[in-house]
Amino acid sequence: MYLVTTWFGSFLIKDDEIVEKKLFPADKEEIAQRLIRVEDWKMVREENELVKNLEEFFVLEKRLERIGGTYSQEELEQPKPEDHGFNKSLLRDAMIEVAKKRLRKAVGTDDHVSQAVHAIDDLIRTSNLLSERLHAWYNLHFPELEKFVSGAKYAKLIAEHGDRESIPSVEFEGSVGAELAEEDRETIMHFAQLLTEVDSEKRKLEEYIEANMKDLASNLSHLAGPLIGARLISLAGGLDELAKMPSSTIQLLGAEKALFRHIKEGTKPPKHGVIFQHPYLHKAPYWQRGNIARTFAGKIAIAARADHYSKEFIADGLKIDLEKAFKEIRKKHKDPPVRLKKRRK
Amino acid sequence: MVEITPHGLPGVYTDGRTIYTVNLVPGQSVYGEKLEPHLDIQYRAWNPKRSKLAAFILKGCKTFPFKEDSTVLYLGAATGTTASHISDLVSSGTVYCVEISPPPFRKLVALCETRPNMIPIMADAHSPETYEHLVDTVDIVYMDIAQRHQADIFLKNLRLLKNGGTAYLMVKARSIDVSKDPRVVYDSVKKELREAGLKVLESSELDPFEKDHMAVVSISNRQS
Ligand SMILES: C[S@@+](CC[C@H](N)C(=O)[O-])C[C@H]1O[C@@H](n2cnc3c(N)ncnc32)[C@H](O)[C@@H]1O
Repeated sequence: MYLVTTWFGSFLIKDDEIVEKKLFPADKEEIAQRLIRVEDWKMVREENELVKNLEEFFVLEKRLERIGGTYSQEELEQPKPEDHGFNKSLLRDAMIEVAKKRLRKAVGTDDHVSQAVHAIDDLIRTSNLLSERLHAWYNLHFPELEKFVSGAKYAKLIAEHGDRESIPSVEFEGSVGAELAEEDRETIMHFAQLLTEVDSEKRKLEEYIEANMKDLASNLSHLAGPLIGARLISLAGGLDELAKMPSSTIQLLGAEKALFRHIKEGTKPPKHGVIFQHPYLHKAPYWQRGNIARTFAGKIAIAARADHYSKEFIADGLKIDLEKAFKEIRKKHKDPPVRLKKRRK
Repeated sequence: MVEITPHGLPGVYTDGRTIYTVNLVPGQSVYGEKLEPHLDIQYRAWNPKRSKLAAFILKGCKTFPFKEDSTVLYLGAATGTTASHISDLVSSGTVYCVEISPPPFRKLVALCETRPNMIPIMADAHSPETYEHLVDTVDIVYMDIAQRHQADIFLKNLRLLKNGGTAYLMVKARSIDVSKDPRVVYDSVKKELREAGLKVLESSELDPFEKDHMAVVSISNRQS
């Protein structure tokens, strides 16, 4: 007995006779779904139903070994679509569906995450630029405000209240700034508003990245944090690329410029790239950072591979291992290295 | 108005200089080719600089089994330039278009949506087992893939060719070996096809339309 699957159904064939058949629904969407399963080396429902009660059967494709078929290279007369009420125009419609689904899939979540990382960088640059201008501008009216507040709060106060007299609980008596005309006040408020929107857009993008990273790369996200994880994916050119990289490359992702300078100008080689943004590194004493970076990158590589290949969640274990290794490093390199004075020749 | 008459090969027309096929989708120009009406029929100019099959025809191709109801397996369909003309030729038949690379495939799918006899298959021609459940055995296999192991890929796909069917291979000498004289490469490809049990019917270099290319037509004569 042979199990044979065509684009329109599954068949049990014995001695060139079809003994049982399960035709696919004559609908392009239904057929497309099944063809994609076949492409992905999965079973379709009709195959499972046909072999449910079979002890032994032969198959002509390796995929079907998975439900217990014995692979054979026999050449068999294939069932003809016309004999079962199907025609080629349905195959064509289904294949167009398959093609569209696959093309849609060809753009992955990691592509969107990478773009979002770039967008955040754009917004940071924009925010710095606008912020500089806002300070210079508002200093005409109230230069002392900088001393009271900074960052996002500064722009928010101006956007909401405008002139120094309206800003609550801030001392303005004796300001050396000039008076603010109504027209100037409104213009500057709008400009400050723009800056607050840029900052809130940046936060939204961070949330977007966090949410997507959970599905796309839960291990990486858990281990390195969603934003650093996303930056690594973006720098590598996709999760698949990151999964292929040796940990020594991952350790230096984002430090390409420093590496280049090292090679060209003989400056000190970089020890770490974007992973430096993680507290593991920037909170560590400088003399431990090289060791920590190496260990950290090693676990990141394992996490990225798990995210790309097995999709199993293993980050909890990785994190425990990591903390253990860090403890070792801290113990072994407790003291800063003693700098030997260079002797003059 | 130009006078368009049969060229001699079935389905191919000419005005004495340019060759044409009958447009299956009147009004559609696939790659910027000219559309010519003549006596109620719309013809599509077939550009030998864009399509190796057109170049081969102009170089005197004799074997031309494309009939209205033929089925064709086209390997390396790219955006469908040549495949669209074959689609004109086999108007009630089928062209299975295999292409591996997503950017051209995207355009190919859009074309297939407008042409009822074209079926898009995104697959690697190295692995015919990934699409053989879609493709019934065909009358003609046509392959134009600039790859080092062109002949191997071609031979693997012949199991989808009907007994007695015709197979076209467009060989790019430089893909196989840049250091060798193209003629040497051509001869070794033909030898390989013969050894695999094919009968080579004719072959022709495609210059001046395509440099360092050859078209080979063979016929399968499996004994069974
Ligand atoms: C020279 S172009 C074909 C041009 C096309 N035949 C025409 O005349 O309109 C070669 C095409 O083969 C595709 N290709 C290369 N390797 C392939 C493979 N292993 N399987 C399927 N297609 C492949 C390439 O992506 C490219 O689009």
